[in-house]
Amino acid sequence: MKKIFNYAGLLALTLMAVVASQAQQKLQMKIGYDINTPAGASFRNSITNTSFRGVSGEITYPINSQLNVGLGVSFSDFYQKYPRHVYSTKNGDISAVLTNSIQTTPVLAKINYNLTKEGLVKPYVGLGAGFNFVNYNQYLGEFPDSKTSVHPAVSGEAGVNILLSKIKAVGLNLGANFNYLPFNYNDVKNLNNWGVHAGIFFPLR
Amino acid sequence: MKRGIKWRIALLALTAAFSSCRKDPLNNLTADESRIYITNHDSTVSFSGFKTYSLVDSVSVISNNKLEAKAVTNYDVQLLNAIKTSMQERGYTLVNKNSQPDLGINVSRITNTYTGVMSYPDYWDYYGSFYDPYYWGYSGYGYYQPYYSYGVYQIAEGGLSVEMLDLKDASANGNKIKPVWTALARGTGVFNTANATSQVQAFFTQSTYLKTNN
Repeated sequence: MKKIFNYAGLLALTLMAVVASQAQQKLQMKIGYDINTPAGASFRNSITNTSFRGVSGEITYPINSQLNVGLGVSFSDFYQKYPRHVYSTKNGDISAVLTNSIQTTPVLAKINYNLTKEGLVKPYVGLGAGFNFVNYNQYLGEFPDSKTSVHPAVSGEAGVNILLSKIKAVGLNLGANFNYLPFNYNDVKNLNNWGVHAGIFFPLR
Repeated sequence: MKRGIKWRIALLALTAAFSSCRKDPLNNLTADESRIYITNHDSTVSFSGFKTYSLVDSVSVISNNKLEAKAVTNYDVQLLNAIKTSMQERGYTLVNKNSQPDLGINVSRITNTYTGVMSYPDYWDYYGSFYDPYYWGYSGYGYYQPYYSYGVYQIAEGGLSVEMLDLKDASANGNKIKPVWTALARGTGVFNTANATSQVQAFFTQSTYLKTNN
């Protein structure tokens, strides 16, 4: 597993260098709205609510008509409040309303591959690797147990880009994604989630 | 220049979107939900072995680890009455403190105030990232640090504390009085008179082991 993250980091750095070197031309920006839902028992033990508070942005550079590389950042806010309950401790009990609030911000180097070269509707698949900035808060009543940390992150996605204006290269993006986000604090071992997103893309020129 | 503006707008939009997207847990709590009730007990002690208890006649007001007063406000009276009711429901008999009670109960209002100095120079070091001079029409400019360099803040926190003491076994415990049960309420409105009774009830509800064989 460590090897995978080392390779992911290397890939991220390489792609960042490529994007930076090409930053003056043909860059495309994507901004989207994201909906994500926790996946896996560990995360779902803490939060089962789907996050409707997600946004994402991506800047990519076309290597050729089918391959794009770039950098992507997304944000999801996971939140769940549990009614008052008595929790047992070693020699006692705590009665509290428990709130879990977790924000994930994966910053990923990305490779997207268009499955078709031509057409107004271009299906694509994508992979991302990088790091996830996590803000974890568990509140007992108004008292938080907080932790901010950075962890490796891997993401896969599939979707379609729908061109609205061929000349201006502006269009809509629709897709689904899975985020593999290791984490380890309290009883939460990962923040894996899957989701859907919709957005717009436009050239940065 | 045009490209620079586009970048800045995109970045600002992204940053604003991220920070505004978070659902703030504290804004989604009522005062009642904000409060927590913590009880601890000595698991080696059998509470059914105690029959009688005595309760303080006033509440200690402790501020920054100093006893400020012994008070009997409306809030305090409600607290003491609620403790009496709950202890009676669990089968314990209230006796005068001179009648050698098995248990003694103390009640305290604790407030601590912390004063700290905020590192203003650190704040000003990053001032440009909070307020881009571009906004004022001075793209590429920076900020001087102001001549004043620190700020002071004060945080007050408080809690209601109830302690049950083992008086019966004080001699057997090496002439020491052992707390066998403690209860602490913290959160918004913890010192509101309207909440006094319900807080004591919460303590006892989650302490089902507090009962005697009377």
